[in-house]
Amino acid sequence: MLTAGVQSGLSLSLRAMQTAQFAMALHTKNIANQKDPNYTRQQMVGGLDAGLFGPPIARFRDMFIDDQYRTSAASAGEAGIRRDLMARVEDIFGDPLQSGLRKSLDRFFDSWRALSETPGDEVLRLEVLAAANEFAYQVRTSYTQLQQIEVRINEQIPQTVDQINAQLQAVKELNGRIAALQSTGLSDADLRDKRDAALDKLAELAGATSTELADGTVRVMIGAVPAVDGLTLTEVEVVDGPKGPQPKWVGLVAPEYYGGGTLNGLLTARKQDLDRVKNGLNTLAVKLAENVNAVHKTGYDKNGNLNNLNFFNIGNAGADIAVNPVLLADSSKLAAAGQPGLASDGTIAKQIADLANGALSAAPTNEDEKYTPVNLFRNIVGWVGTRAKAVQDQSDLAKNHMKLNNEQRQSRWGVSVDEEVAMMTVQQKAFQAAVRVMNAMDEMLDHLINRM
Amino acid sequence: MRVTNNMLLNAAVYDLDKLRESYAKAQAKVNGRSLERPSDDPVRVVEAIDLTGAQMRLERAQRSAEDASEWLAVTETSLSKLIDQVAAAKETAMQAGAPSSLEETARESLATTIDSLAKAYYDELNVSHRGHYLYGGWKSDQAPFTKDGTGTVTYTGDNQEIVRHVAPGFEISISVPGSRLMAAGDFVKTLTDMAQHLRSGEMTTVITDDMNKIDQVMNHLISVRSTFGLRMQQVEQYEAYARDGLINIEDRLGKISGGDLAEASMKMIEAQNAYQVAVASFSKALPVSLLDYMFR
Repeated sequence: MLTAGVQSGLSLSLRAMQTAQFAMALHTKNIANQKDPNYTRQQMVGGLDAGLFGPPIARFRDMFIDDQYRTSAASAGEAGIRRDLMARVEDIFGDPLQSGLRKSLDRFFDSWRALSETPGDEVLRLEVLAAANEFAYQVRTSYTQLQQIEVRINEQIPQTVDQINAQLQAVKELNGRIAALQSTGLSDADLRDKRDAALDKLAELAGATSTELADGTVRVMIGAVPAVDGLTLTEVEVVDGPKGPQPKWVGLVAPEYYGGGTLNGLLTARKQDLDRVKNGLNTLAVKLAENVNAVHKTGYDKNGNLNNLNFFNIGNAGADIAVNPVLLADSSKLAAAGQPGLASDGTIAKQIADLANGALSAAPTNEDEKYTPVNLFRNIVGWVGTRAKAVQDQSDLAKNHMKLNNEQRQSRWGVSVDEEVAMMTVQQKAFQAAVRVMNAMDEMLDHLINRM
Repeated sequence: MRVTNNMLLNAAVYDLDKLRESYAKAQAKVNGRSLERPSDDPVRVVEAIDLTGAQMRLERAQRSAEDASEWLAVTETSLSKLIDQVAAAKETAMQAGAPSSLEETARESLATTIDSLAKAYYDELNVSHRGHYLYGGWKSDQAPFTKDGTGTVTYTGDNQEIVRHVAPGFEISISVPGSRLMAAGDFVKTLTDMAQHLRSGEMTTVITDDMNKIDQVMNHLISVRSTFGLRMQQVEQYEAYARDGLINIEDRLGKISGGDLAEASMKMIEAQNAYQVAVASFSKALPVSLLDYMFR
């Protein structure tokens, strides 16, 4: 009886030593992973038991905090990309006081005003052409830059869809491996960390939400569609839409793709933010050019000829607008007079200068055409500024939420080196104690075996 | 709350970012650029666009007003010259009424004076300034008056007035078309006829009919000149308005885009200090952990 007690005491202290060693290894692992934002602090719960692969390990994860974090990640993803894109749109308009487009618009009308007063002056004719050329150049550049932003968006949509699919794949695979581990008793903590990282990314990219199922797998919802459901996967593909590439669920006719996050940010930026500015700028340039042309055609040039020339060549859109090359080549063909042969007749020039004060269209087909050119420009800039500020604020707010949630996460399951070191000392002492016990047992055995 | 090392680090990075951002903003303001992009302050940006537009219009109005002043002055001087010649003609006509002027030599001398006055008057009608005929209306590139053998003057110019935009939405006429000068009769013809009358000794006609015609022209020209005086006053007034407006606009623009330099630099120094203090304190606090004291 006594011998058995001593022997079991030996194996008990051995297990105590192993448990302490295992716990220390776990603390070391925690410390080693302290910089990994996706790592969840692990702790041994209960001791080492015979017949098991390892001691039971607890992961300090909290689904509620995760859900909150992912909600703000989705908003941050959506607002963040829109903020970036609006910042680029803003760059086009630049410093509102020094902006090239605004200055050239004012200068354009001013040069006509000057010409209307001294229509015979050659220098003023050249100034009108230079100002108009500058205006057309500014419109073309701005419009082209807006188009480039749209091209960037259209490139980014398939890239984002690829990223979403990659993460969905990862979640599905990890689901399989985690489910397989469920019955073995082996720790799935590291696999779950990987899966949580993928779910975080999916929330940011597509506004995905997830629910854990009984078998340890998760269901990932994007909009109304379960993109991953346990071990089944529905991927997203890119098809041609009316405005460019458009995401769609593979193999599903309905529902249409709808989600949040970065991808939705890109779609919204293309559909709402960019379109508004592009249309506004287009209306400004095209309507203004049409109005100038209509007046200019009725005018007489310096030599009293009625040339019926367009002042601007309009082309298809704002990107094509240019001053008529015939005029650039021969400034005397500029029509400033309303009647032939009157050197001080600046009627036409005055009418064009007065276009600055009239609505872009007498019979407006949209809101923009109701304004004067400068006011429309000012509205566009005001709109861009307000919208950019709104998405900036949204993005700041979402980022702040994310920061708060991240702090909660860190606070709950981040690794504190101080804590680990302190706990390690505890385990060190436990190990030393176990060794002492074993020593005592050994001495007892020694007494029994050798000294009896 | 449980605080981990990473949390401290993240908070430090975040706070430093914020401080750097506010420092950059304060610095931009010192450089006079508080509105670098529309989103900095959309309402002010829109106001700034309105103001810069108004600024350009006022500057144009100011230049037009300066130009108008010049033309009005030139025209007024020319009108005064015409009036002087009419006055001289009137004096000559009055001399014709004196008994001593009945002498043929005296009459001839008076007639010669009138001839030269007629020529001077005619030349003044075709006066030009900087390549523009003053009394040609919009047809300012051709001499507006022609004279035939009998001394009859014909106006071939245009009947419209040249205007200058001296204030946004307000135009002022800076010329008088020659046809209006002729409204009280062809004065060159009157003088030519008068010289004829003097030579033929029709003194009664000279001091009655011719004198009447001279008076009419005189009154008419004086009334035309007085409108120019009024216009000059108006232009000066509008020039002053434009000047005041520009000062107001520049003041407001300065407030919108730059603001108070002293205040801005104070804010910048504050931001700089906050940043430096934060960097110093974080650099001391962050690297410490229990590991520095245990397992050594």
